[in-house]
Amino acid sequence: MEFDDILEEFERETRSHKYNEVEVKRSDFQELQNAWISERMCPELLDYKQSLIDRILSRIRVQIEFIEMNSIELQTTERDIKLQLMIIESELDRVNFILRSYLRTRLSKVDKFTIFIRNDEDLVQRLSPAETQYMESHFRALIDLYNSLFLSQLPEQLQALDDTGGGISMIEEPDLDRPVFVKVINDTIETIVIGEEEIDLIPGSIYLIRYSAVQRFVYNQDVLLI
Amino acid sequence: MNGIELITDNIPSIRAMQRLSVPLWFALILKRQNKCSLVPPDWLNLKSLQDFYQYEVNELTSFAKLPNNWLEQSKLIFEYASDDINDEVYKLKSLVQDLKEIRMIKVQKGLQLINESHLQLDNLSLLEINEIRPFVVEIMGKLTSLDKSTSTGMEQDEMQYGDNDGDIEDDL
Repeated sequence: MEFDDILEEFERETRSHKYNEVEVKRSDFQELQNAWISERMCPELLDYKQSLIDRILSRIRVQIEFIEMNSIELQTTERDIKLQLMIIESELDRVNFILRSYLRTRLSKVDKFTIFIRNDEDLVQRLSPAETQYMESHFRALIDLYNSLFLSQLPEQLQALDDTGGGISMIEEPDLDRPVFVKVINDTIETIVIGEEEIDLIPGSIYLIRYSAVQRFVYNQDVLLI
Repeated sequence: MNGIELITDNIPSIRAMQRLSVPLWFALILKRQNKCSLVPPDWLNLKSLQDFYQYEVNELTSFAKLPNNWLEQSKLIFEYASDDINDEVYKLKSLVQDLKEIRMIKVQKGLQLINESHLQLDNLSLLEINEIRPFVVEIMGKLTSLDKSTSTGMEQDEMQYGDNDGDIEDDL
């Protein structure tokens, strides 16, 4: 192999690597946006996107390091780096906003459905380790508070927080029949039947439909919550 | 300017007089510093907006295929980059407003079709969906629970005060 060939190959490889990196970044961001919107619109708690969030977080760390490194020597450098820093910072803000909102939405659901989630091992699996830890300690703190404030004064048979007797359940559950807006991504083979109506989901179309009817398609991402 | 590696994208190095496709937020930063001019998207001109409007007038049951965030895009471009648009901006603005209104009227007419099972709204943009979301979700939720309670109510009537746990099928 000639020297030039080697160089050329090297260049091609690095270029295709760069190209892929951009693709990955764009698709990751798209995925993050989808995950965020889905989480906000979905009545129940969805799977935590562990690997996606990890990738985004590591990229955020790189950017923060870059900002810190460069703002120290800002006085001496020219204007170009200032603009560059400003662009990086505003992008950081944009990504952080979505990420925060995503995590907070999840936490608010964890708070709301704590007992319901704790009763079902499959649901606990959807949480990240940090979220599980948060849920447990929040739940503990809440029970301690209730106990010390008023539960200990009540008769013993009324002290439970997860009483389902008497026709009314104390456990708050997500309302899976709530209508949601969905956009169909892939062809779904199955037909949805609601009552006496049959509904075919056409790719590219937007539907308003109860969540329980499309739940399994949301899981395998044939439809997107919007 | 040299290229920048971002979290969600990489910006290649930029030279003067070069046409480049970049995220809108990035272009707006440069625009505000008077470092670039924007090329308006291909749907944002008098001709295509008029076509879209005609489509909305002619087709009563479907919506024109506008980009998912056309309202947001047009607002940002009108606000920050109106000097880069070739057509007269006030005409474009009023066309966008007309489009927005006729689409909203069609949505509201379409809501008459709402029932407890589903509603199809193709090509509606996110902003337009969010505009009707609180109302529609509420109503459809109510219809769903009404539907449920009437069907279970009927079953219960036929069971003649039977035990709730009893087998409904047998009684029917």
